[in-house]
Amino acid sequence: MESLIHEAYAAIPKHGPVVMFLAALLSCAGAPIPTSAMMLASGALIASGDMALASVFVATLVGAMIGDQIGFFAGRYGGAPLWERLRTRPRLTAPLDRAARELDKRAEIAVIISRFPLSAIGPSVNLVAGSTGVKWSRFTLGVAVGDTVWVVIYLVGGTYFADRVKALGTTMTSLLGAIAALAIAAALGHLIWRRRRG
Amino acid sequence: MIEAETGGTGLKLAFLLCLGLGLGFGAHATWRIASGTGFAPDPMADWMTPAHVSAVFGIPPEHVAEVLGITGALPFASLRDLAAERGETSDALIARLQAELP
Repeated sequence: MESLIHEAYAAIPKHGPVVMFLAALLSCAGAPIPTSAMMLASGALIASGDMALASVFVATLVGAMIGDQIGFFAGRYGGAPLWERLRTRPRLTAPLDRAARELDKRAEIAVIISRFPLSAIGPSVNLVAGSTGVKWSRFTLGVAVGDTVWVVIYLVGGTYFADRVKALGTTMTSLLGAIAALAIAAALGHLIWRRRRG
Repeated sequence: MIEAETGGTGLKLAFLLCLGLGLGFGAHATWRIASGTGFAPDPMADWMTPAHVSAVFGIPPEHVAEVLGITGALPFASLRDLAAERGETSDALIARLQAELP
């Protein structure tokens, strides 16, 4: 993972804010790109005067929001039939309906939390939100707030910790990846446990 | 019935995969924090730019420019790309910059 982050960092001076736009777009659409770590490095390069905060912020935020919309509409047009197929399984109907109801009740909060600190599950939340029929306006509101918080925290973090962005980026990627994977494991474990209880 | 069992197996596999990934990432993060590398200052590296090197390592910009043979403002380019332009290795360029460390 460290070498992947290293190469991602090296791409920033080569392509500037454009690479941040593409990284945010692709990672929010589901590609495994260390955009959070790249934002830390961008923050460090902003602190040294190499890049302008406004251009990096806008490029990353717009890229992230477009990537989120790709995931949402992929879920709406590609994931909804799959979701319906899963619902036809008798033992999955109730848990999936409950999950969809819960997501719909707290759509904005769920989307915001899945940008930060659970950014690793953001693309999955986009797909599920699209598949389960969450209203586009509520999803977009959550994404706008969540992505702004996500981008600001990492860019500002990079300017403050400019002397250790590589170490911090690698550690944060592992830490947040662990939190997200364990959160999904806990949700799946809960689903398996409920199915066993009938 | 078979379909439900397949769904159950899929769920269990997904659960085990997520648990394994979570534990793996968690162990990696814990090891980095415990060993002191988690938040340690970065060594000079080829992804850094001349201005970043100057700001982080406290080398005056004019010394960085002199080492890199640059006149005028420090360019927004990585040490790797600057070394490639000059036909030398990143390691050689970094070694010359490190010699300027205060």
